[in-house]
Amino acid sequence: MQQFLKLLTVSLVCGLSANSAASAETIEEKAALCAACHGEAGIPADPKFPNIWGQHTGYLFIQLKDMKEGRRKNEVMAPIVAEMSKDDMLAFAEYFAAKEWPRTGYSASAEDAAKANPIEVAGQCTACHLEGYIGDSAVPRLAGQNPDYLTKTTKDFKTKERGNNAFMTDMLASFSDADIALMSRFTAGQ
Amino acid sequence: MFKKAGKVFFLVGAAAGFAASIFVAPAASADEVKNATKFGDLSLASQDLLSRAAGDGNNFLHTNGNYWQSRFYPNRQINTSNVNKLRPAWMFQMEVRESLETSPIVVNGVMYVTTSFDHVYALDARTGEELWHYKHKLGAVTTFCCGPNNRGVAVYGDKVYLSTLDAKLVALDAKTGKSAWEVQIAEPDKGYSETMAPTAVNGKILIGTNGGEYGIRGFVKAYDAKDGKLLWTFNTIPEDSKGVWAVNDATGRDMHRDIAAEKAAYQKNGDPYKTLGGGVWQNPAVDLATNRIYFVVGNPSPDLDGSIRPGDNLYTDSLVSVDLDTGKYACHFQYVAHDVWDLDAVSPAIIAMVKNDKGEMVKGVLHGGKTGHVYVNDAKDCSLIRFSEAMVPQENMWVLPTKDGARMLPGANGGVEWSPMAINPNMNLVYAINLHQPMTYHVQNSAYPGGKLWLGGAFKVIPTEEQWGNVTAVDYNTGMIRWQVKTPQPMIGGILATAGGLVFTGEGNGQFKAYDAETGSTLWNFQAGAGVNAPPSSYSVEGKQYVVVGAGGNTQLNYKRGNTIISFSLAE
Repeated sequence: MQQFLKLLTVSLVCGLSANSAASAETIEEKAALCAACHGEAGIPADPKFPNIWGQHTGYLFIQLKDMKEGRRKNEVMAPIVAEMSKDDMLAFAEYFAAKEWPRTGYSASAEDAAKANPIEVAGQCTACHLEGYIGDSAVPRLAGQNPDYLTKTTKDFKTKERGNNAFMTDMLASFSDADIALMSRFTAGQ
Repeated sequence: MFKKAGKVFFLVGAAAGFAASIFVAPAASADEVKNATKFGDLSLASQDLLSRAAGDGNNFLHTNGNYWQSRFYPNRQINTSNVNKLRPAWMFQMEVRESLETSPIVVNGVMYVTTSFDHVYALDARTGEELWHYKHKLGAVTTFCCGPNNRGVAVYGDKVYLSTLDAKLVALDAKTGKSAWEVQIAEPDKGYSETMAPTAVNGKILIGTNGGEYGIRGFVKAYDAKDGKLLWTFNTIPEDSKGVWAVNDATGRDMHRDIAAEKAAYQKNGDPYKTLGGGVWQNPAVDLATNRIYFVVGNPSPDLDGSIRPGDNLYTDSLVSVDLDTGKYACHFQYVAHDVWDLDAVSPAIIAMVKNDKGEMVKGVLHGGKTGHVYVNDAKDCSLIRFSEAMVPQENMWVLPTKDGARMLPGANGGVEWSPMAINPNMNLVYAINLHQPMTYHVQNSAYPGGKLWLGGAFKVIPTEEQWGNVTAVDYNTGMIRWQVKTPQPMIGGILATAGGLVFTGEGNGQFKAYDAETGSTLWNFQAGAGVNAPPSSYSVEGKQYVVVGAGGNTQLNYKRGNTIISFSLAE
């Protein structure tokens, strides 16, 4: 609870800064406070938060838009995006996309890689996320993402807690939680 | 994602194989432009040149060879008796290492090829030397299914035309690669994107759209080649899309539709035409004599959930013909009504003279379906003349998708995917490459998600079942399979037939092969090192015939990526 309040406080500050489009504040200054959750050097302190440095512009933009319009529910982000304009969201997306993707140092085990193969064949995962799970535009990069975040958000797709991608929800309906955790480790560790 | 590459080209040496001279040049910068004219002013692609492409043994002027899209190349210098001497003449490595589906276009010794993410290269077709390189700056949001592909350019006059993932049509100066103009075809954040090559004819640039997986409303548009002004739009989904409530598919099999429930839903919710899909992934065939074009329309949206789109979903999964000058509807034929399997129509239509059921020679239209059949229709009224034997196993057709998944063959990739077929009109044979990829079909109900991927469920490959492919020759006057060669992986890419009695096609494992067009015997093969999943072309310069193909793998089937254009000629 304490951590949540801390996050919420940071979020509101972050939100206020995002809302100050009319001020002379630069995008760097606006985005600086977001580092409290998403990391000073692009790696969040809490592995349940996503890396957003180097993520694709289209994906980041769509997530901000979806959070503002309620398709993706997140109590921390909701107040931050509430007052953002479309231009603000695009500016944040472009700003973070231009950053270098951080190296987490995490790599998938050989055992996970072997077990992942039939799952990725069945789901045809690389047809959208591309070879090496690097994604493009509206499809997120998974390689190098936090495995804990991926596991959580993928399970959220399955349970419809995350409701902003019907296809992922439909696809994941027939995958077990164990498969989801394994694929999260495998794709994050590319 | 992008790997910078130098330019490597091989000259055919006296010795067989690869031990030839190798030149490595530094990568040209994006702004470095040389004059791309190698033969005076002959680089201009006049309408007359384009119209005569079917008999042109020097150039390769259209994505599928000529306006009838036969992919039958008339030069016979490389033939069954000497194809075993085919060797790489040069190789060119491009900046982008991703799925490669380009059809090389050659105009008077200059070759144009494209890559994923919409780069265009102009090359000296004799040597592989780079003349210019255009990189399209993509917008923030692109929405595309099945890989960031591009299938090539169209040439017309002094321009090269490219369509892009962010749904633009771009005209480039053929000599410099500089952009002359660009227009926005549709909205990328609503699911529209472009991977097809445009078609250039009579001052018009024709283009379809992707997006059948995103709830778009499909179209074919014609733009003025001079300035990009929109001339006409044909919506592939009419406002009344319900059709005739067809119970059977084109082959007469029951599709298990609940017509009463569909009619009730139609009555209650109205026509679903606004988000019904119907992409046009591939070039139209053009009949200059009748001034009509023929194209096939893809699946309805959402792919697997038919409950929210009652009716036949016209003109999805159909052959459609419209007037070239006006875009006015001429005729259509629906292969699969109310498709809930994504077994749609993608492989480009081919015009050919065929025998009708009375034995008379008529102008026909061939299409290779994801169902595994080659369909032969009458060009006059689009009516079905015949369909071929199934080229791949069909099981449990047409079982309806379920929540837990229903197994049916073919899987949702076909049969024949987007891969263009080729014909040999002297043998009355059409050549198709096929996939055998068992899948289960899962249905889920979800509302239109505003431009995001919307399948209404999922297709799942069954990982424990064997997958394979084949190359199949079908007699289009009888529908009988003449020969078939099994391949170790599902096939995707395209095929080229030549007057030398050959058929060329590549495989996901890097093999590029020449088959005897009459018997299917493998006469030659080459290991390209990455998936050969692009349609081959042929051309000749200074009296020497070449066969050229891209080796860059495939996103959809996850075949090994590469970035190489390889041109082959006979060893001297």
